[in-house]
Amino acid sequence: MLDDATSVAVIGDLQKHPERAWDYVTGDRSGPLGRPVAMASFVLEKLFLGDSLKTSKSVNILLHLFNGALVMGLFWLLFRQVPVPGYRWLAVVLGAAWLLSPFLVSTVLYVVQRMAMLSATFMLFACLFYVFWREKLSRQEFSVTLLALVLASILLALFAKENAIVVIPVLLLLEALWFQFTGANNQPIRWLKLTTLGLIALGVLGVSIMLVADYEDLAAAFGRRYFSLDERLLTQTRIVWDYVRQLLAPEVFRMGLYHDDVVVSTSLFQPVSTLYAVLAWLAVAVLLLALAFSRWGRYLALGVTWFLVGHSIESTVFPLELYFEHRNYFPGIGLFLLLGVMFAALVRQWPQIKAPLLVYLACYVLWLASLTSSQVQVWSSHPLIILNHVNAHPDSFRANADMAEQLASLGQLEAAQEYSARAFAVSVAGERSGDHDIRDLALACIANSPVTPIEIERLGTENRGRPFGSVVTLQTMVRLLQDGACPDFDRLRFANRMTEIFLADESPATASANIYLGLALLENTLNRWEYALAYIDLFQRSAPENAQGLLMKLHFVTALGKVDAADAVRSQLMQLQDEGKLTVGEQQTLSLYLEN
Amino acid sequence: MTGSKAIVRKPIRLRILAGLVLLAALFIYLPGLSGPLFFDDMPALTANEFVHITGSSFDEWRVAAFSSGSGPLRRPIAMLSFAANYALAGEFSTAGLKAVNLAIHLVIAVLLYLLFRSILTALAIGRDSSTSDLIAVTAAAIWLLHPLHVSTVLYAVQRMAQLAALFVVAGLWVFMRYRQRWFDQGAPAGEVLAASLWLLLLTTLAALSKESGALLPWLIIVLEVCIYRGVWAGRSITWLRGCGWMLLVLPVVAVVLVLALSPETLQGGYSGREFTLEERLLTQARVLWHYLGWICLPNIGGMGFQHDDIAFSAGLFAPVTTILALLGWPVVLLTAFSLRRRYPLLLLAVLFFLVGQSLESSVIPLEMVYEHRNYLPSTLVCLLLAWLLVIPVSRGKHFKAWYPVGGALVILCMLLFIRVHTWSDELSLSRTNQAQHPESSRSNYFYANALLRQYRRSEQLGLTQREKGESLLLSRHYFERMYQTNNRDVAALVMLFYLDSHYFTELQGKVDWLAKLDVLLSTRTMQPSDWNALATLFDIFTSNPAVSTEATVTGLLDKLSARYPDSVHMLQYRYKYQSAMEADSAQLLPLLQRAQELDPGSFWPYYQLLYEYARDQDAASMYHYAGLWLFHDSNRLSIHQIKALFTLPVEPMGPSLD
Repeated sequence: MLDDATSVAVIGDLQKHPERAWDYVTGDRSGPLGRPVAMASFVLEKLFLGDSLKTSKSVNILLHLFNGALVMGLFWLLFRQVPVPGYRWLAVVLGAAWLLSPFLVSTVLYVVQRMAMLSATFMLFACLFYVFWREKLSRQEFSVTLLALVLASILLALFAKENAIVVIPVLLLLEALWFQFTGANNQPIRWLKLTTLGLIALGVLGVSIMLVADYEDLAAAFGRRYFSLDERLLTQTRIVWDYVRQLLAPEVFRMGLYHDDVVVSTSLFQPVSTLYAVLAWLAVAVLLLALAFSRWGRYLALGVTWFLVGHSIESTVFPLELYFEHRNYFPGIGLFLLLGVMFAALVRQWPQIKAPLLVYLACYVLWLASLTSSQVQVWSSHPLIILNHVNAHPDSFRANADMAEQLASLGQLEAAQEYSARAFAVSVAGERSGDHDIRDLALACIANSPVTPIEIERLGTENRGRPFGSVVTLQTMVRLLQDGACPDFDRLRFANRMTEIFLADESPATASANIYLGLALLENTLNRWEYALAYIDLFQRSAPENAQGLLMKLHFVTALGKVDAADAVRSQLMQLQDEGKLTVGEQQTLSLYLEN
Repeated sequence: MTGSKAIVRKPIRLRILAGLVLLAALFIYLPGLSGPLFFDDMPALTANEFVHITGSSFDEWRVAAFSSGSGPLRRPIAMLSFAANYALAGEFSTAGLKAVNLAIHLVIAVLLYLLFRSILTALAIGRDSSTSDLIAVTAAAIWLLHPLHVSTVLYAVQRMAQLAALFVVAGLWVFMRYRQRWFDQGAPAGEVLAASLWLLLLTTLAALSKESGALLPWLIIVLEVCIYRGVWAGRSITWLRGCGWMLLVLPVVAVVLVLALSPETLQGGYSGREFTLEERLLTQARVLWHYLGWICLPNIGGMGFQHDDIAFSAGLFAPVTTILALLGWPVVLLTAFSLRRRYPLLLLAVLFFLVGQSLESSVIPLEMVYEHRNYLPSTLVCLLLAWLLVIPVSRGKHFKAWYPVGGALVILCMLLFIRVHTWSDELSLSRTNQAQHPESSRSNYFYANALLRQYRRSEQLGLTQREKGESLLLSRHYFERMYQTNNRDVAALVMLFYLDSHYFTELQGKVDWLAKLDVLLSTRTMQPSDWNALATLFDIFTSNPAVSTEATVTGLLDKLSARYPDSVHMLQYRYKYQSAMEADSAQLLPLLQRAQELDPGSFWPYYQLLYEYARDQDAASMYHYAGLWLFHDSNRLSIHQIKALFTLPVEPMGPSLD
């Protein structure tokens, strides 16, 4: 599903080519650090456990169980520190509540989200090591080893997924709000207090300066989105409240992978719930400030700030999509911690209610488990996921497009095209009609239905300057044609139409680099090297040093017998190889051309 | 020798008595475990596929828990216990189901003993603890061995009522334990909060077993006003006492206000009944006296599984016992209230009984009489009876309290034995019912049906040809008798039509049952049992089309459809019939689509729609309706079936006669 295709499914047959394992470990482009830890887990899994979806999901489930144990362990240590009567049971029950939250199903059973899970694993390790280190410090022992383990865990978390950076402020908050700098005999540890508060102040200052200084750049980065930076921030105030609701009082019907139908807040009053959300967050902020003045208030504040800081990367100023459930995997722990502190505060006031409250919490966990169980059933069947998405999100582009593809695979082209048209109609990102037309052709191909010449000729007649925007749609179409999924489809007419659009002498249309790459692959399939070369030249305008592009160019010029050009490309590739910029797979491909 | 020693020389005697009572109940009930499953056992258990689980996956338990169609809360606790029965045995063994019911009955009796003892202690009844112990044991024993409860314990599905009672009794006991301490010493807020949390939890568990369990808080108020009377830490607190009385009457005032200001809110539910709200309220005044009579004087001759022969009170004087019954309740209440200081148990028992009956014996349009409705409300009446049995003799110098107690319990054991024996097999139960309620249409139906089942199983049972013939003949006789007792009951006409068209063909020309049915259906207010009977009728038509002409069947369908244009039942019958007549999907699909629109929460139209579309190889429509099914199945009960659609061929629902 979705990102599985770009991060997990791309891993080739490692049983045949184990030497390429390192390519995959370091080859992911999902984030700035390449997420090698997460990719290594996928690679190791495929090397030793085989290549099956079931295995991948089983590994995710085991990892989730392990994370659940870590959460319980962390709660155990934290509540023991306070101390809370019955903290052992409390830790187990609250850890179970997080473990069995239905809101996390779409993280655990969505293979690629192992990245989020693994980063949470190491973030939890960082927290646990910090608590151990801190306990030793309270006994006036300074453990370098534990501090090193904290740092190592942070690094590993970052290399699993970059949003793990939030663990640093979480650790600072843990110190400031939970341990509250107390050392032996309840005496404050001054240097720790200064360091922690200093780092927090520095962090706040740094982020503030960065936001002010880079505001224009940040806002500009939203150019490829259908919402602006301001709109994202306003919308997130509503979305994060929805996350709170879905974590604590889940409504499973709405849960799923697709939330692209979420209404964007264009102002404080549009929709009016934005205003309520903003005011509610302001109230939370005031409450947090008030809580900061008492010891128990600070305990309560930790859960809230853990949750908010946990969301600070993915739910704020970066031009990411608006809503994803997996963003709550680590931040959600904060809300369950908050429940625990509320329990502790109540039990401190009225010790008699400890037992009944624990039973109520256990009943709550049972309820969450039953919801999770039903949600897992939905996730155990691809058609059920699709139906559930369409039911719960009838205005989701992705849900409708998925349904269209599913129906086409069953040969139901007419119904598939209805859903495709609906996807086009509800697309908040403003899908281009050309993409809709290509999707309909792809659906016809999947359904193995005939396509009239008019349908192909119609391509590119609207938005002539840039008729197509979706790389995925075009690449899917090309892959289908490459694979011979629809033998009766007039591939030549389709390719000719594309050349008319993109390789016209006068005012050719433009597209993103990867669309040219896809078209080059199509022409390669048709053995029309001239056109393929033309497309790769267009591709190289945006990515002149892209090794894949260069290798393809080498293939095309060789096929066309352009020896000089081939030599030039070859030497360019060898230079890249010398600089260590080629993967093992790319080197192997290049070596084939060197031998010839 | 002191008086207390005279009553119970050694505490060990009480333990022996308690043990003997438990053993007696166990052994007397054991033969009843072989009794049948019937009536509501079918839709809730045997025909409810969601509860037929292996128990190997958590989701099976989730689905089973919410699979009951009974009550707004779906009774998940009770359904989980049934699912456990099925998972352990791999089937619904009647013995297994009823054994669990019996175990619950015994546990409740033990809890009742604890509750009674705490009530007696709080009221300082009995000269000493031995006397109150004897009263408590006797009261619990009377309740345990009472023959009135056979129709709850040996009727599998009534485990719902049992579990609700179990949690309510546990809640009352918990309340008594806390409240007694507060009575003497008061309590910190934390303790009150803790008690409230426990009681709320037990109320929830009780209500999730059966909705009547939600009465626990009101029953607690009854204990408060009758026993503790607002005393806190040894001091009488006026506002607390006032609150108790106010909370006690508040629900009554609320219902009276609704009746006065917006009676249509309550009357709406009566459209499917052949009695009105007023008639039900008037009749219930008499029914409650009946109940009280059965509890105090357990005449098993008047008891039975069905009581549909009770005359409805159409007015204050029709029958005249209505006015007497109506006047009797205020008199009893006023008497009990005026004697509350001297005889607190009297007010406690009366209020507890009335509050316990308030949900099922008042404004809700349920059927008129069921014995299981007394399962919980009878408890404190049993305590009052035990008190009446022990206290008078304890005042004498040379008395033997064992004699009246032993005598009463022996009589109860005998009555219980007889009634359990009756309930140990379907034929004897239905025969006894019919004999005790000859004017009950349902008792006749129940017996006739049992005879018909015996006829069908004659080879398995090793009956001779003569016995087999007699079974069939008797079956027809009692169906006809059923018709005579109530000629407006659809089931009688359907079954007589069935028997005459299949077994007594020579009688077919004499009485045209279908014609009678045709006439009846023009005016009959259809009851749930009537719809079931019609389902059987159309099963007969579909399994053996030769028994009638297509025009007759279509005529019946058209007539009913005209009267009930929005009835999903009618669409289902028409679909089944037309399907059996091999109508094409163009005729069948609109019926199913209409049924789905009318009742999107009902699962059968989806099954059939998917089957029809699968036949037409229309995957797009299959997806459309699978999506709608998933959408309307808010509890995701059918999720496994919907999932299986994408891997397994769809099977149609076959017609069934049973």
